[in-house]
Amino acid sequence: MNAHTLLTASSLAVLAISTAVGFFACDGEYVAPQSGDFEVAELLVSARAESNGLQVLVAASVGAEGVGAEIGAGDVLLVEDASGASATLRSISGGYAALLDSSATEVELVLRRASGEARGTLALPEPFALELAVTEGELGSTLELSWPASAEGSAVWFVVYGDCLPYPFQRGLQADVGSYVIQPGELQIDPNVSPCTLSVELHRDALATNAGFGDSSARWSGAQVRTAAIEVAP
Amino acid sequence: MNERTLRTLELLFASLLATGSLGGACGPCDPEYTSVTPRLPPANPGGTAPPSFDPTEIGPGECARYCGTGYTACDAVVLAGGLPAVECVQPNMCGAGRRPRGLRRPALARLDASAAWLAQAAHLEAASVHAFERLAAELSALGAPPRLVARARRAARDEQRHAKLVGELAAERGAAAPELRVDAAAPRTALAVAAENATEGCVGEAFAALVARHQAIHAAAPSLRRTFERIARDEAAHAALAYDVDAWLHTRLTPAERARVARARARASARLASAYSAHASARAQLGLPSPEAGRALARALDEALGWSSLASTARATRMPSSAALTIPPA
Repeated sequence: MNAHTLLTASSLAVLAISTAVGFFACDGEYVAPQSGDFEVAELLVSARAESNGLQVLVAASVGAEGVGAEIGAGDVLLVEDASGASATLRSISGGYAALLDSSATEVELVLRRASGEARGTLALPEPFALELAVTEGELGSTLELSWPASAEGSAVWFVVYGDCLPYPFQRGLQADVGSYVIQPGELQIDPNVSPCTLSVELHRDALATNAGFGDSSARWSGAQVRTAAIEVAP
Repeated sequence: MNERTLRTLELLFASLLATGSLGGACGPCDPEYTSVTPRLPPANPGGTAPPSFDPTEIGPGECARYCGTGYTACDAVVLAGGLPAVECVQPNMCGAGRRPRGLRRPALARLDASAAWLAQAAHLEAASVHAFERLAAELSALGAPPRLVARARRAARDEQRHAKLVGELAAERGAAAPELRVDAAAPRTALAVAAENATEGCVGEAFAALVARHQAIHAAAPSLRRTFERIARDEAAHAALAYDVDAWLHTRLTPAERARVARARARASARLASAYSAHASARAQLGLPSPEAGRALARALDEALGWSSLASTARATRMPSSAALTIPPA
C-alpha cells in the first residue's frame, strides 16, 4: 500500500455498512479556521468600502487555506478614517461589516493583534451628487439622471427599485459621462401600486489597491453611492 | 483524459449511490438559509433628496434589490453597532459547478424553487466557464503539461454546454439565469491555485458529479434525467481533472504547502457535509438528494477519499487505483 489515499474493498465495505446504519453521526461539526492562527500574509482578506457621502459601509471577508475563516484567536478587524474615527467590523453572514460616520474618501482597514497590526487603505472614487430632472413623474415619462462626469475611469452603474417595480432595473454605463435617460417603457411599473416611491441608486465603483494586507490577490474595492427618490404617479 | 482517474470516480459514485448513503441523519433539515446583508442608508448630499429611511422597515422593492434569488422572506434588522441590514431567507441549494474567485452573487426575482434552482445552476455553470478558463491560463503560466491545460479548456467548453442546457430547462419554467459578474483576479501562486482546485475541484466537483448522478436517476421528467446524466458524466471528468491537477501541483509545493492544501480540502468537505440542503419541491422535481441523504453522501465521499484523515496526517492525496475498487451490492 502506498502512502496516499487508497480506496480498498474493505473501506468500501465499511462505507456500505456505515451508510446503511447511520454510522455518520453529527459529531465533528465544521469549525472554521481562526484568523489569529495564521500569519497576516497567509490571510486572504477581501474588502469593500461604500460611501454615501455621510457614512462609509465597510464589508470584508476573510479566508485561509482556501476556505472562509473567522476573525478570532485574538484578532480584531477595524475601519478607521484619517480623523481617528473608527468602528469594529462585526460578523455578518460569513463576513464582517461596519458602518462608520465619515465623509472621508479614504479609510483604512486595520487587523489588530497582540503582536502588532496590519493596515490597508481602501480608497474611494470621486464623490458626486446625483440629480434627477424631476422628483415627481408620471408613467410613460422619461427619467433623466445627471451627475458630474469624471475621467478617473471608475465603473458606473445604477439600479432603480421600488414597490411598484417587479424587478430592480439595473444598467451599467460605458463611461462616466455624467448623465443617463431612462426611456419610457424601460421601467415596468405596476400601476396598481400607488403611490410609489422609486429609489435611484447610482454607483461609481473602482478597484482599490491592496498593499501589504494579507494575500495581495484578494480583491479590494471602493464605491461612491448616491440615492435619490422620485414619486411616481399613475 | 486520464481514463483511470475518471473510471475510478465513476465506480466510486456508483458505489456510493448503490449503498444509498441514507444513514446519518444530521439533525432537522433546513431547506432554507438566511443571509444578512449590510444596508448602506440612502443619502445624496448636495443632490436630489433621497428616499426616507427607517432601518427597521423595508418594502418589497428594496427586498428584491437586496435578496434576489427567489427569496421567501425579507426583513429589515439593525445589528450590533447600529448597522442596518437586510435579512433574506432563500431556498437552499447545493448545485453543480466550479466557482471562480470573484464570482458575484446573482439577483433573481421570486421564482418557484425548481425554476430558481435551475436558474442558479445555469448561472453557476456559466461561472464555471470562467473558472476553467482561468485555471487553464494559470496552469499554463505555472508550466503545467499541455495536456492538463487542454483538458481545462475542454472543461470550459463542457460548462458552456451545461449552461445552455440548464438555462433552457430554466427557461421552460419561466426563469432566466441572472447576469454573470466575475471580478478580474490577479495571477496566483501554485499554492493558491492548488487550494482552490482542492476545494472547488476535488471536493466541489466530485460532489456535484455525485449529485448530478443522483438527479439523473431520480429527476421527475425524462428530459431532466437526460440532461443530468450528461452533466454527471462531464462533472466526473472535471473532478478527475481536478485530481490530476492536484497531483501535478503537488510536485510544485513544499511539504508545508501540501499540508495546507490537504487541510483546505478537508475543511471544504466538512463544510459540505454539514451544510448541504435542498428545497423540498425542487428536490422532488429535480431529483436532488434530501438534505439528510446529501449530507450523508458528502460524508461518505469524504470517508471514501480520505480527505479528513489525510488532512490530519497532512499527507498528499491521489486518486485510488481502480483495481482497488469493488462495488458493494445495492
